[in-house]
Amino acid sequence: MWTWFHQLASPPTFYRFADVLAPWLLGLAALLIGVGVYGGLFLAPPDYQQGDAFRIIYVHVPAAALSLSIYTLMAVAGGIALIWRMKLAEVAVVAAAPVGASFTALALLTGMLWGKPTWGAYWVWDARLTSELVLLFLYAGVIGLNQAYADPRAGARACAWLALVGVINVPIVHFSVTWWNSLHQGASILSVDGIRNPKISGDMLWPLLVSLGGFYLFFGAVWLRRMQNEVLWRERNARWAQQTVAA
Amino acid sequence: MNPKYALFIWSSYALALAVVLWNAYTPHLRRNDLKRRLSESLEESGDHEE
Repeated sequence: MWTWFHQLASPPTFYRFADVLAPWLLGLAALLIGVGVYGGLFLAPPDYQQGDAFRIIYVHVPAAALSLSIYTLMAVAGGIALIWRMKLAEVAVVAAAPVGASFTALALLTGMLWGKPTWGAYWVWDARLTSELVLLFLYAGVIGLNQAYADPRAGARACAWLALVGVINVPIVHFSVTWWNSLHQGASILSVDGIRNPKISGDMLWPLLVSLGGFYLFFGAVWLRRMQNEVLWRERNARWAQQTVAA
Repeated sequence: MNPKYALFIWSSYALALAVVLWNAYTPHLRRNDLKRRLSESLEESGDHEE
């Protein structure tokens, strides 16, 4: 198992592995997102309090969950890059940041569109919304830092440090609704109590879980593609990269 | 679907579609650009060797 992981850390092996895996992930993601969104829009019953406005959940929750998961993943990869100096972990950090930033922006925007009909305001300086906005700034910091360095390895290491320091914001975002008084509702699924006693009806829950799975697979596919591009650019003088370009 | 909420719901899904398409398409464009630039530099280095 460890030997396989070691081989996978080699740029040409990773490139070929990603070439095979990414289309499957993308195809499965399209299927799951399609089923989840259809179920959420047309099959799930309206909420007894919010009516149809709750249907925004099927894109808002996957985007918000991804925004936190991607940043956590960047911090883990950043730790690996700093401790073991693994090139592929550096690539993983810088390749994940734009995807994470886009899903954080989507979570904020869809949250605003959900907030207006339910709270009466697009934006409130609530702990959940504010900490999620800070997360967007952290992503922007990682992207900017990476572009500020001429040496990609030095840039990636700086990004790894920012990812590690900034990960403190992830539990703050997640637990903000528990720690402070908030307009935002508490966790429905991603809590121990939520798994034991779901606070959401099964008819509404299954499209959400399917959509969540689809969005995670989609992230996997686009992350691999971005990593491939970064690896190809960094290894452009290597024979395997030149053969790949020529093929 | 209640028309009172339709604009908010469809706007959310339209934004999600835009983000998904941007994420799916950007690596593809970058890959094509990279391949073009790398093949050009390979051709140039080949010309110098000759």
